Amino acid sequence: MTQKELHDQRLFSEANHEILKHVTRRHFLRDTMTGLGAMAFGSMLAGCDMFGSKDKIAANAFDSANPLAVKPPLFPGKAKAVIYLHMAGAPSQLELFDYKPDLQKLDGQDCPQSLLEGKRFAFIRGVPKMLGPYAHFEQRGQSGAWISDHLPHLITVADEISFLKAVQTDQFNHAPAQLLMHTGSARLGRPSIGAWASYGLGTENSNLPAFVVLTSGGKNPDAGKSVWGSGFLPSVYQGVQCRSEGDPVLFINNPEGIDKNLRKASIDAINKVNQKAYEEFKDPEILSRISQYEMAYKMQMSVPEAMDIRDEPDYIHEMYGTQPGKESFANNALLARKLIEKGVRYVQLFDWGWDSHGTGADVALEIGFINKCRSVDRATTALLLDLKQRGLLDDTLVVWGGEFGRTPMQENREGKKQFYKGRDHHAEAFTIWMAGGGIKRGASYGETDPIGYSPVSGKVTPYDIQATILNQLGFDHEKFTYQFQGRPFRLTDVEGRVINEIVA
Amino acid sequence: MTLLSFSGFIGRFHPVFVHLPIGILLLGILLHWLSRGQKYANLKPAVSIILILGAVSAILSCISGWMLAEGTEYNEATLDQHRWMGIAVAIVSIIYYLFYIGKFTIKFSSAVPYIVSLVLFVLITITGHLGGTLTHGEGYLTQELTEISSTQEVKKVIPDVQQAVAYNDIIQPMLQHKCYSCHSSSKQKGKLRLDEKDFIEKGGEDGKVLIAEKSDESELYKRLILEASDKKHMPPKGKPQLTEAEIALMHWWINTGASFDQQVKDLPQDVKIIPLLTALQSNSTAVASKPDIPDAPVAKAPDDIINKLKEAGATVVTVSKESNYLSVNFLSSKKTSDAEMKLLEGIAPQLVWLKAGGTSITDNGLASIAKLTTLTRLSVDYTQITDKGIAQLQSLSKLQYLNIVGTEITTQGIITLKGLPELQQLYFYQSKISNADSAILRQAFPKVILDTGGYVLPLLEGDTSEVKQKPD
Repeated sequence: MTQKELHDQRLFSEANHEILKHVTRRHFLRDTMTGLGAMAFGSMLAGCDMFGSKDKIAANAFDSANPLAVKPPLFPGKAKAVIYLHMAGAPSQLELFDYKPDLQKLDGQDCPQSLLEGKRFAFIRGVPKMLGPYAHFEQRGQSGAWISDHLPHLITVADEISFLKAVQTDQFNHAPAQLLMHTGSARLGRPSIGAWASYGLGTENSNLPAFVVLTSGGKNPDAGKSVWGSGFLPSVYQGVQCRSEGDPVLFINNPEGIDKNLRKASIDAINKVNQKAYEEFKDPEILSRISQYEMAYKMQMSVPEAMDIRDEPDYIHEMYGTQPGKESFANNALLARKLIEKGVRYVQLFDWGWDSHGTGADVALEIGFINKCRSVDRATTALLLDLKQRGLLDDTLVVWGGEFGRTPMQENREGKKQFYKGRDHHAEAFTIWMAGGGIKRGASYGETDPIGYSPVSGKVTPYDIQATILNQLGFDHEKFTYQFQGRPFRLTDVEGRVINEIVA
Repeated sequence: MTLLSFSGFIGRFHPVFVHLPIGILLLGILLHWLSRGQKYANLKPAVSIILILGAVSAILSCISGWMLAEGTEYNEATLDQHRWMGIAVAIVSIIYYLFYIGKFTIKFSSAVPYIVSLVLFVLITITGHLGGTLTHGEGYLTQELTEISSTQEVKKVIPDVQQAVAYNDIIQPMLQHKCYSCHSSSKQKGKLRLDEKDFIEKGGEDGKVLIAEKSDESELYKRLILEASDKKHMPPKGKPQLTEAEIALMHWWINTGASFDQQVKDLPQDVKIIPLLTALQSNSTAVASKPDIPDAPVAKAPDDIINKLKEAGATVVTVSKESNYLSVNFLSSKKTSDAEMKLLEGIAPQLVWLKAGGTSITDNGLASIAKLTTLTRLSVDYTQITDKGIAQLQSLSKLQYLNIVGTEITTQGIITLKGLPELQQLYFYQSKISNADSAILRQAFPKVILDTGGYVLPLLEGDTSEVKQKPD
């Protein structure tokens, strides 16, 4: 099945839904007058299963002996791998990509009542003042994308990027919004995109995990490990978090007095015991455990090579601005490139510290926010260029964004005037960008109103972004399911549309 | 109410019934004509029974058709024609039967049945065609003929969009693909032609369609943005629609004065239109414009070779669930050597993507790879290959992507591949290809994206400093 056929099929079913919306109960009763008999007849036959109603689309069967074996996607994907750069805390789109000169004119004025009615904010109370963009914007590259001076390196690669300028979520608190962004549900319990990807595609390199998570910014994301969890998928698909400071993986070397062969023998023995336990209880999680042990053994060989950024040449360190040994976004970005090069399927970076409320210097738009921009700008740009020069950007999808946006109003926590410039959480409109992996170069989709409050065209949701990521990997988000609690589950639940406007 | 839905139910049988009169009556006419001759005279007795059966089935078709037509949303004009033509078929078939059995006798009565049969033949053909048009849409019959001519037109490539003439290079091709089929020399629906400047300016039966600088008053734009279900929406339902980008370009062209001769660079361009214009340029859309997997299906690759490859540490997987084309990489196994490349020859018809980067392959391995003529993507980065080996890859006529990053290949070596017809992307960062040769390379690979790599980010003040306090 080609992508085009899938697309047509989806259009067709969408059209059908539209038509069905106009069917009332009255229609139903009228139309089924002659059909009730047939229905009864049909249900009598149902027990025979004569139509082979078994789910034909049923996704990739879970091979518990080798859960990470490489598997083909539904259709040939443009991207083999994904690097998701999540700026946890939600960076301000109004200081980076969504240029609003009109908002500058309103700076300091009271926010009109019409924008506040029926809305809830995390911290804004009463009538806040409008806050003009605290950044200098210019159009960059051939594509003319608006990017502010806060990202002086990224502006040089503007033409590699496709912007989604009108992303809208429905969560205005960090944890649920992050969960929604990565698992398709604001509540706990669903697998993350990376878990779905490794479940669907396995790993290209059997010595490394399929899904690796790296964090920086001094804090894990608010939603905790569930944002890279495996939910109801077998736990082998959850993200493997590597340490962000010092060695990425601890105890990678054998303890003194134990050599490779003894280690192998002991793991084999443990696995034999586990195998017995599996035969007795038939719990697939035991098999996951067995394969985890094997993976751990293989990783002893592969990790020092793949995960140590110290052996990279100086000019690469210079390019990224890395500081080996310290916790930094730059280190993680370089590590991400190395892992992708080695065949890891999904690398998830979280960088905490973008929650620019303006309640202190480190979260002020004039101070902390600019420092955050500086800490990721060089490395992000280096990552794009490094992937490009190695011929990897072509089949690696890079996604950059936060969990929501920030308000066009100055935050007034507890109704008080704040010393620093800051913005509250804003779910209604923000910017996310994608590059590589079969995404158009230099495109922009979606538009917000003159103050950046809500989308006026090209609105997309986290589900649409998830659908697009899966699409680039070669999956139809409507067909890629996992049977759980008696029904097939999808990453995008009942939502989602592939954003074809930015797909090359 | 019961009756209504019951009639609808009967109506659904129309598509089944209609084939009966077509087949039976045509058979009747055929036998009638054949049985004139001596050879088939023995068929005569069959004709009358066939004709009465045909007439009855025609009547049934009319009744079921009438019921089907209730409450449906077919094109009304066509539906009406089909309805009355169908009824005409039924009536004429009865008359035909009556004449045939000699119930009616008038002057020249021996010739009359033949004339009536011809009339009936024509009626059946027209009615059938109208019915087909209703179900399959207008132009279904001739679609294949017309499609070929339209898909064969290669989309015009714009080398530099700013130098292009807005109408000739952007708007006219759009009109040609999406509007000419109803609004040009062959057809003028609504008395409108869009194939020449004068006709566009003249407009259609309801007046002007183009009012320069006023897209919201120009039907040429307004119709495009109506709801797809709206009767006035253009192009009509079922026809190829304009893309969002095309609609935006039309909006831009009209609002900037609907000039027929000005170049793009002379027209005002705002933020929103620049990316759309740039996207029309040939160099920005070159990447991934061609599928990197052949259309033709291929047999499954032999399992024993796949198993051998897997044992050797290769990752082997089909490019998609339903395809037999293969993607192979050696990311898990550094020990990979020329022997594994030799193995690949056994899956040459299936192998489209190969990553052999970082392995110990040499020029001998490239000799094996040169036999993988289905390859569209090949990475042999960070290997020991040399110019001698790379020259062998001239046989890879399907190759679109080639990665020789970190190899000993020089400019002389890579130039030997300049004849590769499909090559689109070439990565040679950290190879021995000198940056000074970029002019030679450009000339040898005019259509290829050449990536020399070696990107350097300047050290900016902000890279190492921190903002400490609020500016005044």
